[in-house]
Amino acid sequence: MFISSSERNEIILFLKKAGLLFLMCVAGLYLLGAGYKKLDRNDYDCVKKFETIPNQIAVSNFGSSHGLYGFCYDDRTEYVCFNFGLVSQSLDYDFRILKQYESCLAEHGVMFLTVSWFSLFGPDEREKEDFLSLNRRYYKILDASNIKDFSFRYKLLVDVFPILGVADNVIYDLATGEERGRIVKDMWDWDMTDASLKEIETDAKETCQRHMENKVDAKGKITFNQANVDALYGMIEICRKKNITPVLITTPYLKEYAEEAGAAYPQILDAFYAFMEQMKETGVAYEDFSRDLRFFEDRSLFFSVDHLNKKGALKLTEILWEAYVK
Amino acid sequence: MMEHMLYGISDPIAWIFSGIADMGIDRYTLFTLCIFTLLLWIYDYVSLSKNVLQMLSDVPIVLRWMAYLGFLLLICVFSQKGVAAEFVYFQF
Repeated sequence: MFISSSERNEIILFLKKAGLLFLMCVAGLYLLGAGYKKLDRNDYDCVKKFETIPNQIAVSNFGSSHGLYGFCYDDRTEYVCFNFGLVSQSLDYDFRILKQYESCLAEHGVMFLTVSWFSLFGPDEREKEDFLSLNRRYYKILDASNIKDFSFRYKLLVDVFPILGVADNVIYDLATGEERGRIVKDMWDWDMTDASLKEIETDAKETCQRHMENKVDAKGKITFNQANVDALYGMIEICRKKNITPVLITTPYLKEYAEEAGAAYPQILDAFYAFMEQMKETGVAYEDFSRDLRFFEDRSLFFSVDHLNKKGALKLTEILWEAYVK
Repeated sequence: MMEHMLYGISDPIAWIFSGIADMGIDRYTLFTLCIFTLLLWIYDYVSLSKNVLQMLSDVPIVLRWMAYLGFLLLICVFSQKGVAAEFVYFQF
């Protein structure tokens, strides 16, 4: 097909204009995304604390929600402290975060590594239904090498163009973000003193089921999650390299949760304690608060059957501080 | 339906907002809807007497390109992207 010179010039001009508009649009989306990230106060995944992570951290802890809610350093001003815990976090991701932020740790410090009854077992976390939803938060705080199943496309959407990826309703996010994020933090102030025994027992049963499901196969065999086991050893090694004292902790649980887990999943608890017995060979201290009578029946120290509230966290931190930090 | 449609009309503002909420529209979606409806009305009103696209072609190039870019960004910002479900923070 013949195209005249003037037509060709028009096509080229059109393509140039379209290209320029595209580039302007990309730049505009980038700037809007930067503004959105700055204005969005929604911290429901609790990762904003990493934006202001201090240097020379002397006392720290890792863990899932048991670690996140189990430690409170509000009263501790003598040393730089930091809680690395995140909700639904595996030991493997604890290790990855430790590798990423190793340079922020001071030598000769203390590190509490939270190990829950269910932490060491089960299939790879990539097989979990909510893996992608949980994995999203790590794009904000970790390098590509430390993110499982890293996707460059996802990195672009989370970090560079949140307007196209994360923010489905920008107005809604900006208007309600702080409020929605606060719900997660406010839970820490709740306690269980008003809950009925039936409610607590139901919560204990459901929580146990959620924690322990998939940990035992149909034949009753328990599979260790090798990535999590290796991560635990890896964290201890990093601690030793930096002359940090690692302390393994099982945080306190409410009586109903502990009894339900013991009755319904005894093989998991047996395997867990057999493993912790083996860990003694490494010379690392282990503190088991799971049935500690200072917490066990005191509902005013918990906001759920397996999570300490702020009052409980202050108490646990005080006990550990006296034993390992002072 | 005819019997119930005016239920609560004695408080007209609450009546309007509860009706909108019953349709599953929250106030932020309503705000977005209002912006785009307003734009549509302005376009519709101006187009009664003038050719809006011709008007746009006649404005200085900088303003015209800003308008193009603005429309594109509006579409990007307010479109439904179908992102993954929100972080499951109650399932520890």
